[in-house]
Amino acid sequence: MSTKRGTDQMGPGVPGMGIASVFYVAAALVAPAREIVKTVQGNSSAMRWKVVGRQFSLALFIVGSIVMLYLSVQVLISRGLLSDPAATDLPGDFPNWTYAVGILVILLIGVTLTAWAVGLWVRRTGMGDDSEVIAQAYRASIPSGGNIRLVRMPRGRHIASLPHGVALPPRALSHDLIIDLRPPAASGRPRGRHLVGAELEDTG
Amino acid sequence: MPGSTPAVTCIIPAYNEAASISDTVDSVFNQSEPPESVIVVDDGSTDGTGELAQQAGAMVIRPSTGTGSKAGAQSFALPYVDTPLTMVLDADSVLSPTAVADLRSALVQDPDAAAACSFVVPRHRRTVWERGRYVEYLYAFGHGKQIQEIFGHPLISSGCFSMYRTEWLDHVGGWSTRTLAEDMDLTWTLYRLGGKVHFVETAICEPIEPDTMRMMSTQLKRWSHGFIQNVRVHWRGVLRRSMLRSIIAVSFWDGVVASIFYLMVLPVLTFLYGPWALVGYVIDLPAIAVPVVYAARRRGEVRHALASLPAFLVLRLLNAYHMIRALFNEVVLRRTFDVYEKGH
Repeated sequence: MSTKRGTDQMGPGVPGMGIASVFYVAAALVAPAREIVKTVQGNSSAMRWKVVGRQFSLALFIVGSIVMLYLSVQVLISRGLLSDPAATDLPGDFPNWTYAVGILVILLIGVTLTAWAVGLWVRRTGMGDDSEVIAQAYRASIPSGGNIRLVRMPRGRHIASLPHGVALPPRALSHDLIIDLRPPAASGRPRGRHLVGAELEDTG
Repeated sequence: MPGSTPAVTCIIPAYNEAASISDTVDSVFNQSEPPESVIVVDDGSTDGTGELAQQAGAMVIRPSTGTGSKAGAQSFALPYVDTPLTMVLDADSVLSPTAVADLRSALVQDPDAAAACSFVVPRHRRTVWERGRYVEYLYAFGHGKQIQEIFGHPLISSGCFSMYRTEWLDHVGGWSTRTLAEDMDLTWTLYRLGGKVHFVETAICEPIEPDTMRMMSTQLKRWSHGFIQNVRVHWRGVLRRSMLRSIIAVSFWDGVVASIFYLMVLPVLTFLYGPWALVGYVIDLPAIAVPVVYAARRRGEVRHALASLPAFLVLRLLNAYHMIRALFNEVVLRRTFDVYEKGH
């Protein structure tokens, strides 16, 4: 029996109940629209559409199952087999289940907007600087290790600052993309320089 | 390099896995496209795991002292890897016949992909815990993870079976032991470095899941602490990535709020307003059942999945308990759990 498994669930919380379910259903429902855009851009495929279509259908079935559950309960209540638990003194003239769904949707919007706002704040204040993560990657990949600085470039990108004579790894990493620093055969100039618009700093 | 088939090395960390290691190694060698090299890291086993792996045809390496963690064992093997791709597989897992080819294909087709992961489903479904996990995985991998893939951000490249570009593993120094969920840590690090991760539903990994409450608790304790530790390590970095940020935010919210709801709010409501409140424990069952039944139907296991649904309700109560406990210890008491406990 394994003693070595890693985290492997959809999430470590409690699947099913909560805003994650609403989040995934909502994501599945908007996925076709997003995929149309990707198709126009040439970034989609028949395989992707198959998955998108399947998840879209599942989301519709999930919504349908919730509505069916509500209607079933209403039938039981109308036949006197169940008492109405909410004996509604809720405001408005909507079915009770819309309040529950509404609360979940509002929570979902609140949580995602909060995460977005915190992300914006982190970016503005520079707290989300990934220099150390990237520097660690460089240190791990260059045998001489250690003596490496990173220069932060516009738009959150980074470029390595290497001791003189140290060879760059075949593929250097930056925050937003991998920059291939191997010189292209045609020009002999490292593509990294071209991409970030800056010279490598030689600290040697 | 679409069209080419880069070589793969398979790393299997193992500690006292005599009961399953032969099946695991066999399933690797019986692949439609087997890896070019299979390395079993015998991390201090005392039950002959290493010898059995060797008999099955794997290369066995042993650290001079036990590394004490899955991350440590895998990183120990990394210098032995000389292929462009590296896959990791738990020592109690078996693979579908094309699993390696499917993951390799995903990495070949997308040069920017740093990792690819598989569909996971428990091999045995006898006890309530195994059945609960079965439903949980059908739901997670048949629905949530597929949507994460559509939006380009699978939350985790699962530790039980994943494939990576060796170059990326070298860049990040292998698997870190700073958290108890090394697969989540690695996945989020790869994202922060600009890498992509793919979920490949046709590649199927079947591990042995905890079959007792004690074993399940040990595993859930590690997962819950691991998640919180990873949020603490990576929160600034992952906030930059919109879809990943949203997935983690809602997962964290549910992990906290839904757990409190289950363990505290519903019992109080039941006490105050009567047994109607107990419906809260099962009210989402239809929403759970739809993706579960669909995923089970593709495997020809609908009856089995339906019969297992009640077990899922039990398992998520245990999930909720461990999530709340981990949160209290890690965040309130600032007591970090860093012992890689045997369990699962």
